[in-house]
Amino acid sequence: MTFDEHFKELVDRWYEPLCRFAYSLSRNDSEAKDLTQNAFLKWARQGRGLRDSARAKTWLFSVVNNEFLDQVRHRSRHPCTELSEDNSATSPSIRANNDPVGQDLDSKLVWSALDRLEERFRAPLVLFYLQDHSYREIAEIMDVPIGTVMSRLRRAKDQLREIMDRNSSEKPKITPFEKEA
Amino acid sequence: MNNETAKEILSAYRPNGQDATDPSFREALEQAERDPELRAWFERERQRDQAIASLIGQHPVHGNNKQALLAMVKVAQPLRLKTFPWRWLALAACAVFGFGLIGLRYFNSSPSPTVPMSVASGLPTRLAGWADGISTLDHPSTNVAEIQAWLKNTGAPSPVTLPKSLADIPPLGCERIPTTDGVAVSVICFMDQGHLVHLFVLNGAANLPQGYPDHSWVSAHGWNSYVWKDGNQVFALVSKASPKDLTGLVT
Repeated sequence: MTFDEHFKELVDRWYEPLCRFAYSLSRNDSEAKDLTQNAFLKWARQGRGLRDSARAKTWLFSVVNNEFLDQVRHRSRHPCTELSEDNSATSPSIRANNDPVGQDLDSKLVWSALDRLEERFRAPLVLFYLQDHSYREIAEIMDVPIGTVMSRLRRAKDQLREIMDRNSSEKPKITPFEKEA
Repeated sequence: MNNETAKEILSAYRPNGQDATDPSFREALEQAERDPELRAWFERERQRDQAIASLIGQHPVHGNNKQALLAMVKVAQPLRLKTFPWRWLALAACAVFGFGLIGLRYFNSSPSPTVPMSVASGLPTRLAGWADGISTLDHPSTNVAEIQAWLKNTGAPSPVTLPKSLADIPPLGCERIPTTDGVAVSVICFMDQGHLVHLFVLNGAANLPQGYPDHSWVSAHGWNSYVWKDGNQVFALVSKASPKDLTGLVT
């Protein structure tokens, strides 16, 4: 397989999942696209040796995660105010196809709960929900021990559930007026 | 294994079943089969995980940049030349030139931010060389205004105006071209109908040799270029597309 073919295959397979992961970290469409694009360009420059697709995948997600963390550190040193995109207004709310747990799950509820999740829990949990990575690969991407990933996933899910329960109980309930007899 | 440990392990079990053959889950899964309380918890957990995973997986990716990305890396293909040992040879050559330049500057303090004769006289070959040598872009972006601002902020030549036809083509990004004679050159790359099109910008049109045409077609090493002056800037549209195709971009 030529370099071009390999690169195209990687882009076709991983562009969207990487973008979703980047979006979960930055919560900004433009930043997510930039992070994704930079990861692929970095692969083209430095990661060419990673012909094994599984390793290339882990490498790409690590780059997105690390670059995002670098940006966060940079911003904390050089704070600035940006005109933010109000993604919540433009992102359509998607409802879960089957909602067996009885909770009114929709994408806005999930994303806003993920927003409130502790930083160290959010990235592994989103990687888990993207379902493309085993917990071992998540450990490699996050550069933490396997045991840490397992305990973080457990705690992240508990925390997410608590936040979602709180958010849905805060939502005003719409109840129809009873007809007068 | 107690149920709490089993829950921690099963929390990492993907709802799509991809971990079904992973032996590290076997014991916890067997325990969930035997223990009704653990089984009920695991079923609820999987259903919930599946619902959340499907919502995250459906999150729309706006403005897919795949094509621009593939094109950008095509731009970077000549970068292969930069892999070892060429990189070290190039560095060594740069160092020699660098020392040479420092020496020259030491003895001749007049600044050279403009287009010198040597560039102008060998322009077709220089343009082809620059186009061949474009590596991964310094600043990938699909927004012209943003590219112009970035070039300006980094002190590189930034086009004051662009041909109208280019404004309709989303760019891929830009790069500052390193030169050994102190001339500041930048390039903005576009993809038009399957062809890479590079717009080079050089400051200092006033210093072009007397009689240098305001508009000219030049060609070297397979690259066709249309060169023109606008104010104090020199522009060159360089591509392997035919001059006929290029004409549409400059009119």
